[in-house]
Amino acid sequence: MSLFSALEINTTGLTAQRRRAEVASSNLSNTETTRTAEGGPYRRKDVVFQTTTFGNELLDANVRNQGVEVAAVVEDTTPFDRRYEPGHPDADADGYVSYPNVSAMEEMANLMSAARSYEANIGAISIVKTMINRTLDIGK
Amino acid sequence: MNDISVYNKIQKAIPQPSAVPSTGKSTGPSFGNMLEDAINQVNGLEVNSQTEMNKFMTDDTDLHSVMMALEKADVSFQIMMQVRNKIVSAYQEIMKSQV
Repeated sequence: MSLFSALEINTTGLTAQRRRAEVASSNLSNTETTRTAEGGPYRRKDVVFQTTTFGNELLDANVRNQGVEVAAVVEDTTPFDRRYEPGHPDADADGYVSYPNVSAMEEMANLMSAARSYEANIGAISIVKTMINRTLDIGK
Repeated sequence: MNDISVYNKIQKAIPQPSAVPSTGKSTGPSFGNMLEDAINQVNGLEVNSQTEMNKFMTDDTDLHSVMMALEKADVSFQIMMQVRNKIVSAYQEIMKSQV
């Protein structure tokens, strides 16, 4: 129903931002992880967003409503943080341990940004809801 | 199809929207049919919110999807109620008229 298309678009925003918060949480909890299933330390992950089209399929793609979705979760290829810790079980021959390329501060900022975007989408939802309710008030 | 039968239909449909009576007397698409479709659509959204809820319970969907389904069901129910109110007031207006 076209009445709800604005709500549906914002729902895609909520889903995408929640996924982003999930990825940021995963990064944040693995700031010190030196072992993974693939071997080596944890690699920082990032989400890539892309648009999704909504509504009337007969219309041109550029005039149709655009939602958002997480296209991919990619790995950050920046080098690992190498620290000299000879006593560490995962230290290499020179005594260096590779720690994940995650900065806790950066992840916190990312998480806050995701939370704010989520809130913005919720704000948009309540505005659209108010619009619908106001429209219904015409009949009262 | 007259106002009164439409009203009866709505009245029957409101307490148990899952069992919308399909009398199907009229031939072409009438106002009653349209209304019935609208009620069915509202009911569909209600059912949808229930399935979303079940999916949420079994960890299959996000909380916001559930809230959105509930919201859609709520808004469409309110729209249906507005339509019903309009019809009832029209019916009462007619009943009040002197013959």
